[in-house]
Amino acid sequence: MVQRRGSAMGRVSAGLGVVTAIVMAAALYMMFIYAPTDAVQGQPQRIFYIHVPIATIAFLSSFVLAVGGIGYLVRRSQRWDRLARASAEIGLIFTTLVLLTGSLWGRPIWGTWWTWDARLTTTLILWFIYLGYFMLRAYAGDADRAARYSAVLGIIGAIDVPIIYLSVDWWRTLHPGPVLFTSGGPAMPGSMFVTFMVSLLAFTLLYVWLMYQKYMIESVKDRVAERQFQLAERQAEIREGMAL
Amino acid sequence: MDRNLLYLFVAFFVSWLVMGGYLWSLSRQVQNLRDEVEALESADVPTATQAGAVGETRAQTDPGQA
Repeated sequence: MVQRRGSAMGRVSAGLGVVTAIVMAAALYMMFIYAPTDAVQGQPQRIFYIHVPIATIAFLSSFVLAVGGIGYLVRRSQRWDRLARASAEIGLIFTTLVLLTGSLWGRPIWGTWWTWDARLTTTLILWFIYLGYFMLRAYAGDADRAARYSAVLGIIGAIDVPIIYLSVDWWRTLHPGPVLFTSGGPAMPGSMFVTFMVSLLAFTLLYVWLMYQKYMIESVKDRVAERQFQLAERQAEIREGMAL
Repeated sequence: MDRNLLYLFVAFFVSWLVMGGYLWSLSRQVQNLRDEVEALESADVPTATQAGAVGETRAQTDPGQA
């Protein structure tokens, strides 16, 4: 029964992986062949097609991390904590990529690798929050305390996300304001917008697939740790029995 | 190569390198877990319930899943 369920889930995972790869290949084709070259920025503008979807996933990860954290604080269930742990790791990877791709886009367009602009700085804060999350987990001591403390930090990280999003409205920044979802529609040609949407779909599928893999790994890790603990206890009992 | 094209290339290369590295780390984690499950199985597993649970764990580390 368990084996049958395991293989069915394996097929779903493999199917999702294949779909993700196909959509990602289509997105790459559109980024380089279908979408026109930007008249003002030239080739570096194509970084937009990965930078913005990666940023969206980094923010989504933070939201899922906060949901997992709140779920753990309310229910004290390992499932919620696993969800938070899985999302935090993916969030750290994607936030790192946002900063790297943003820097590589900023250099040819703004003439600098980095500036203490509001959006860049608040994104860097999110990166440090993700990093702090793993440091807390590593050094907080017992598992429940680590889960509780990191849940609170995850919630703080999610509060940073709307600040990042609204930073371009609240402060004078070098970073451009919203161009996709404005009241007058997307401020770009249709072919660029479609390419962006396909890329966003590809990265969202990648996130779901990675989340599934990471959640399963965390789930097995917990079970293995539990069994190791039980085995050690049992062996200690046997040793005590032999000593008597 | 045009410098602007170089930034585009590096941005994509770095992105796929980091994601590839992460996928590799996930596969390492799966391999380590598989080793740990095997070690648990070869250890003296005392009760039938525990043995069943390890079997369940093994089913979850099936290569098709991760």
